This record gives sequence, structure tokens and C-alpha cells, in this order.
Amino acid sequence: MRTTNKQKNPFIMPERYTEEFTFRMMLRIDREGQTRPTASSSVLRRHLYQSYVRYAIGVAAVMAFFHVCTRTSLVEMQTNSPVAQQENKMMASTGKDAVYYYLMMNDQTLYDYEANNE
Amino acid sequence: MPTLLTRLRNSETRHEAFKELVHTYTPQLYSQIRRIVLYHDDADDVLQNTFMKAWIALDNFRGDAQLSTWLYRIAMNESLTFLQKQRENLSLDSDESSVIQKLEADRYFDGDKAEAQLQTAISMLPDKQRIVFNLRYFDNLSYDEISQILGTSVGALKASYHFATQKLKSFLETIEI
Repeated sequence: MRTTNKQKNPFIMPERYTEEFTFRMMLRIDREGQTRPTASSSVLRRHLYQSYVRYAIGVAAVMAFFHVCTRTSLVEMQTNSPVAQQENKMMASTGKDAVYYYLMMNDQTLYDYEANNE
Repeated sequence: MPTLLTRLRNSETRHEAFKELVHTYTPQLYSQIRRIVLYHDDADDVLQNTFMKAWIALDNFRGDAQLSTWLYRIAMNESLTFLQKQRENLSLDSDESSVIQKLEADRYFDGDKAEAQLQTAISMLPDKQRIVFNLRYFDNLSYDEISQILGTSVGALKASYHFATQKLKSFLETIEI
């Protein structure tokens, strides 16, 4: 920086301003900027992004694990339950059997139904 | 003895080194900021913000440019920000005559009416032209140095300076000296 052309400069700096200003400035830094100067915004962004990605991967892994566990037990429950077994029967049956099953007929009503319809 | 920059980069010596930096560059930066914002109290605020920004961004300073150029750049940006905020809160007493009166009444302004009129005319320039004019005319900086500080091409700076001098000439012709 070059020296200012003082002859052209009508703006006066108050006496002992430099010393007084330096004192005030360092007080302000001690008060507001005590922590170590921050890292650059790009470094902070990268750090935040990496943390976010790690967190997201972790959450996704946990969710996937629970999904697999609950799905497996649900399938087992569905296959072994009486309702499922009945449903399987229905799926296996065809024609009249399906209709009877749908109409919730037991053996007695079934025979009555068939006798009436013949 | 390690350089100022080396000591600024060392966390153990940083505080003392920054104190030295503030003490060293306060006169030059104050002078430049004061010409842009005109009044002592405003210059004091902008100067504080300049050093505060420098302290916070110390780790970002790569050392490509000189420390003084870096500080000058922060100071000019802070001055521009101040002018923009000032314009948003534009008061009714910011016309030419009131600026001249305020300058003449300022105890930290050592100039006659003609000088006050010149400074007022400069303050009426667009912000960038005002800064270019001050750096070139009062600080005698080369266009290359101003280009480093403002990040503007030399050609654009020459054009800015030319327009600034033309405007000042026509402005000063219209007022009585």
C-alpha cells in the first residue's frame, strides 16, 4: 500500500486514535471472537455434507433391517394363521367349492342348498 | 523472526500478531474508509467491521495477494455495504448542501468550503466510481493495484475513473466555489 497523499486529505484522524482503536478492537475480538477463527464455508459445507450422508446411510440401513425383519415375520404369520389356511383352501378350490366357501356354508346348509337347486 | 503472516497462522501467536496488524494498518485503512463514508463515527464502525471480518476469515487468506491488499479489499467491501445500508435508510438531510454543512461542522474535517464541495461531489458518484476515484486520485494506486483490490479489469477501472472525473468536473462547474 502506498502512502496517502496527505496534502490532498482533509480528513483528520483523531489524536492517539490508532492506539485507542487497537485497544478497542482487541477487546471486541476477545469478547466476540474468542473461539478459533472458523473454517472456510466450503470446508464446513463439505463436513456437513459428509455427516449428512453418513447419517442418511445409517438411517437407511436400520430401516432396511427392520423392514426385512417385519416382512419375514409377517409372511410367516400370514402363512400359519387359520385365516390364511382358509384362504389357501379357497385359492385351491375352484367352481362350486369357491362359491360355497364364499357363501360361508357348512356341510349341512351345503347339502340343503344343493338339494333345493337340483 | 517469523513474518507477520506466519505468526498470524500460528494459533499461539495469532492474537498478538493480529494486534500488530491492527496497529499497523489502522491509519491507512481509516483514511481510505473515511473518504468513502465521510464521517468519523461511520469510518470507525466500518473499520471495526473490517478487522472483525479479517479476524474471522484469517484461515481463508491464502497469501496469494499481499496482506495489505487483502485488508484493503475487505475494507472496500465493508464500505460498499455501509453505503448500501445508508441508502436504504436515506434521510431527508442527505442532499448536497447538508453534506457540505455537516463536513464543515465536523471537527475531524480540516478543509475549506471548496474542499467540502469536492468531497460532497465525490460522495455523489456511484459507489464503484467513488472508490476507484479515491484509490487512484488520493492514494495514488496504480490500476493494477486497484484491479487486485476490487477484482475489476484495468480497462473497466480506467473507464470508471474517466466517467468519475467527467462527472466531478461538470458537478463542480454547476456550484459556486
